[in-house]
Amino acid sequence: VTLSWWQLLLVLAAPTALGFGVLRALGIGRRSDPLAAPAWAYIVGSLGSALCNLLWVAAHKPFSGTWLLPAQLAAGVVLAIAMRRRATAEPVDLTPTRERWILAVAMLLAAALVADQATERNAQPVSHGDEAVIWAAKAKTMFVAHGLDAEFGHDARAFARHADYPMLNPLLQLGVFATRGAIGHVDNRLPIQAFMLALLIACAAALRRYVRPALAALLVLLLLGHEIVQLLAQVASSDHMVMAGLVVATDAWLRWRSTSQIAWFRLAMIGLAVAAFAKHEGAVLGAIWLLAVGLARAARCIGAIASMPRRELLWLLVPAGIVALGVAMNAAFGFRNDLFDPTYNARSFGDRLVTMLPERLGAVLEYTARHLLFDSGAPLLFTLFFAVLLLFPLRLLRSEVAVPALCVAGTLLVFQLVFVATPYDLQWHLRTAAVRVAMQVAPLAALGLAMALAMVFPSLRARRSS
Amino acid sequence: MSERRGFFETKRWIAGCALAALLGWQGVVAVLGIARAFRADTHGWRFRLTASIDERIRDALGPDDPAYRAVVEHVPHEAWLILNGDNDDHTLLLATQLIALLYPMRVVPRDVAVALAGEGRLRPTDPCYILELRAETPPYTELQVREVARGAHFVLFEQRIGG
Repeated sequence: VTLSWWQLLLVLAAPTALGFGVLRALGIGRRSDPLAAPAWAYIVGSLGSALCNLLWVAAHKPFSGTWLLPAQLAAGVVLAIAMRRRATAEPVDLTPTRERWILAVAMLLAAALVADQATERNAQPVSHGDEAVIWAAKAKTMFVAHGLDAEFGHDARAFARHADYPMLNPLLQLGVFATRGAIGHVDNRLPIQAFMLALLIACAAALRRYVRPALAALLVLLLLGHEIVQLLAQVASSDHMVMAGLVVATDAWLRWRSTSQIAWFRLAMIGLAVAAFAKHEGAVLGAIWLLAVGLARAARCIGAIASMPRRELLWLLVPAGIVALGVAMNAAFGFRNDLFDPTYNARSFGDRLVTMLPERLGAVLEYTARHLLFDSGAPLLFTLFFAVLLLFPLRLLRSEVAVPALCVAGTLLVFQLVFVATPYDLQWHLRTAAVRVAMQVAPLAALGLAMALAMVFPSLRARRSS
Repeated sequence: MSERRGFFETKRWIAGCALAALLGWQGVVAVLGIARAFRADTHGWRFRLTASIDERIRDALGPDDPAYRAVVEHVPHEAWLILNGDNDDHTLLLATQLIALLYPMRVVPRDVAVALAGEGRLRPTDPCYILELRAETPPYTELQVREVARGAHFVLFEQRIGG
């Protein structure tokens, strides 16, 4: 490819090291969960790395880009060392069982499939599709720009499609270009592709807290067997970055509820920030997630836990700040969203929604049901989750399962409404996006399914030492 | 109370059997999906791991690769490249690929170039090239053009708008 082997390693090591440093500062160590920690580090560190890269561009690139990732690597190592004495969250109290090897095999299979899909795609350059015209295009404009000035805005509007989309993905690609010192066409996929492996590991770690390793392995396979997940392992798209942020947020929130250790609450907020910085849907899902938590609490589905210092609520500002950053950037450079841009649409989003609802809702629901809930060729995670919920509604919805349930159902509902009001040809938009965006909550459905099965069937529960 | 509990246990037993069957079936579907993904590979590992970027671009562009090479060889970075082709899927895909691969060179379809010239952003004095992708190349007698490269599927001209 175009980067040397050590540069390729640096592209992955820099965010991971930075993430380990940040996790340490939050109060989470490698021993808090040896399986999940590298995945969390990569996901959290990618957010940190992207923000560093943005700062570098905003500061008119005060030093050579080749130092950008080494500096982040060094900062991560220094942070981790400086924080090494900080107390870390307690490890998961799981009893090791013999069937752990099944989950290990599933993880190896996941790694093999992600490597296979990524290298197969990398046989060709990033030259068409969303990965080229949306994500890589914006990364290229930032690499060529002298800073975040008017010229950058003009170039991004002219060259990148959907210039208003959030910046996590392009900023990570920018790190690759900066390391190479030039625009590349293949290896800029690497930091994005790595998100898929991080997602699957983080998801497996979340699942095995509830169910036996063999069942956790099966649920990971159900994700892995879906062609959208396989596609997302190939391309430099951002849907799986949303998935990763949501999985980290939900898993960390659940850990916070079960241990009352504040470090997990902080990690949950950073997870939401990752999702919001990946795609607009991520911000919407973050809002739905918070709403689901609020609704579950208000309906007494979940009880209160030990109170935390009020200042910790300031961590809510992390995802809110990321959303505000995106809004400010888009306003400053005139990047408009196609769903709401009056120059594209004669009518407002709300007007289109109301007037088109009777005509289109049936078609949208039929498409979603056929391709998401009853597709015989794909694993049906959503169907399984909803089936268990329907079988034991009172028992499950009066527990923490209510949160993933409300979140998944709410997300699918909101996405149906977006498709109803689309300014594009409805069938084309459904064909190209409906299943892909719905899959953003598939890991959450898997986690909800694991929680539900563990609650209803004690024999499937993960064995705990306490 | 014990009646309710008995009902719940029976329901759980039946649901457990049904869910076990569903999970087993879904597991088979997932494994088949994973196997399908491995089988769908079209490039050997040697190519994937060792091919140069030029070889990868050639693989992606196929018979259109010579057009890309001609542009890289003859068109300076600061020039405009105007794509003139049919409105079919193949040409649109090639246009997208060239725009992505040649950035920051300003590559625009002809209708966009006309609009930019109207706005004064594509000035008559700007260095400008035309990549003609249509099967039948027009004579271009009304413009001052010079053919700089030709291949089976393209002709590359240098021109000055209004020159």
